[in-house]
Amino acid sequence: VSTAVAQARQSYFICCLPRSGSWLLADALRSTGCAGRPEEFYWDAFRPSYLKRWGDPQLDSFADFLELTFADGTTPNGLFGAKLHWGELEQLGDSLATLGPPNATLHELLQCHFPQPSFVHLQRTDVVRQAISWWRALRSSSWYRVAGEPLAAETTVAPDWRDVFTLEQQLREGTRRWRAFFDGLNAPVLHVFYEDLVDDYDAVVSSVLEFLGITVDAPLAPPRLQRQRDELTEAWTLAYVEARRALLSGET
Amino acid sequence: VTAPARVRRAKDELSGLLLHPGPPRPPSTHPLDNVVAVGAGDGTVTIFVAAKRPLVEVAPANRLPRMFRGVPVIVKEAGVIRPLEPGAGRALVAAGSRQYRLTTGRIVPPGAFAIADCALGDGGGAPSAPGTRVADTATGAIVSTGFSVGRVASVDADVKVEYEKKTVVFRRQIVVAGMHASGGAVIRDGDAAVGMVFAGNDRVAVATHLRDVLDVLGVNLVGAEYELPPWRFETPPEKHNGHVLFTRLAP
Repeated sequence: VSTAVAQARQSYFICCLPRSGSWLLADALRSTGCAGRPEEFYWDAFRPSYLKRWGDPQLDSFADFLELTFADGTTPNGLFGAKLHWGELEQLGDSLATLGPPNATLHELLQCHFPQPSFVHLQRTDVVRQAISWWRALRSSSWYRVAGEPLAAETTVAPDWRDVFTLEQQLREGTRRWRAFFDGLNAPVLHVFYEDLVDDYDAVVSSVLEFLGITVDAPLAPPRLQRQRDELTEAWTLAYVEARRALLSGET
Repeated sequence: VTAPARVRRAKDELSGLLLHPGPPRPPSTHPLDNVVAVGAGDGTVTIFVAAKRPLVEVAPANRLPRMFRGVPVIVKEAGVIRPLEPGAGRALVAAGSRQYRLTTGRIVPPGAFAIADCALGDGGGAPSAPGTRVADTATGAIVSTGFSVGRVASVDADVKVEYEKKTVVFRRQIVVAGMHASGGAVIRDGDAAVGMVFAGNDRVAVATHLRDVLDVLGVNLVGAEYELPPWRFETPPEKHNGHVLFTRLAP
């Protein structure tokens, strides 16, 4: 494990919110073999499954877990990557605070425990479809679709629009918090958009690689993950926008 | 039932009775021909008609009520409402890093009812000062496109728009009296961008709430913050590791 720590010389985070194309971007970077292996290591709920993957080692502190994530998420060139939703960053901050230094800010904790951290902020302009996509994923547990795999069974019964409204508010609040986080950050940040990633996959992935200082000679592999947006999303978007106007008028 | 809720219910019921989409019909004093919009206001429902006639010229069966479900009804003349050609003053919007001009679709919606007639046009150029935030406006507010000023007659109006071969009812629209605007124009209330004009005539402009336009198209207004009013829960939404757990309003 200590060797793995020594191997991680540079780190980056994909900073995102649910349904922003973060798996698509993470998979693209991973597929290069030299841009880290970004995963959601720091969501508390995922920790048992990661520990199982790593052979259920005994952990004395969060530092041990951190070292294991470096071992898993670092490519041989020393680049470590991880994916963070806003809530996961908050959890990571709480865990890092147990390691110190005392009274350090979240920014300082990240700078202290991760080598040369940089940040890729992946945003989605279309928050309403993002919220609907989130609702669908929560209901179906289908968070991504690999090309060639069958579609997951899913209900076509329309949501209670109050639930989607709640998710939309969560996303808008998450965006505000990410912006506030970047405002005071003294580290490199690259802002990219889901819409651009979908429209021009190669250009966006290349821009991230350039930002990370990675040169890849071979052409990028085509994306393994398929877009999940469909006609149902479009129909529900129109229905939700109309229903939301009623909700905003105080009708329930 | 609160007063605003009673007004909204009266408006919705009247809208269902008086606004029938379908092929355009020749003008007459029959309410199904003459009524072009029904809007909720502050304590009243406003029925907009294509043309007001002296009472003696209107058959008793065709007369509009002065009171409906205990809510006062006001009748105003608005003319026939048609989709507008796109004009100047269209706002700059973005989807990701790509920029477009907000405009009207002028495509007949496939169904009988719709919420927006909007589209993305060629981008480029500077933002045309549409506001520093996207928010809602209120009935009675004075709004402006930068070229024309008017008073908001209703922010919750169902409006019958006459396309060439059929009429479509647009729900929950903004009706602005005294404004002459072209399609795609963004109307402002102070520093807030509140609506996009897509239909009207020389007496009224009909705008879709800008929040709805942006979300239907999946874009942001360049240079403006988006404000979503808070949703008040009986109890705060529960969170589970950053993922919300569905929370219901208390009955």
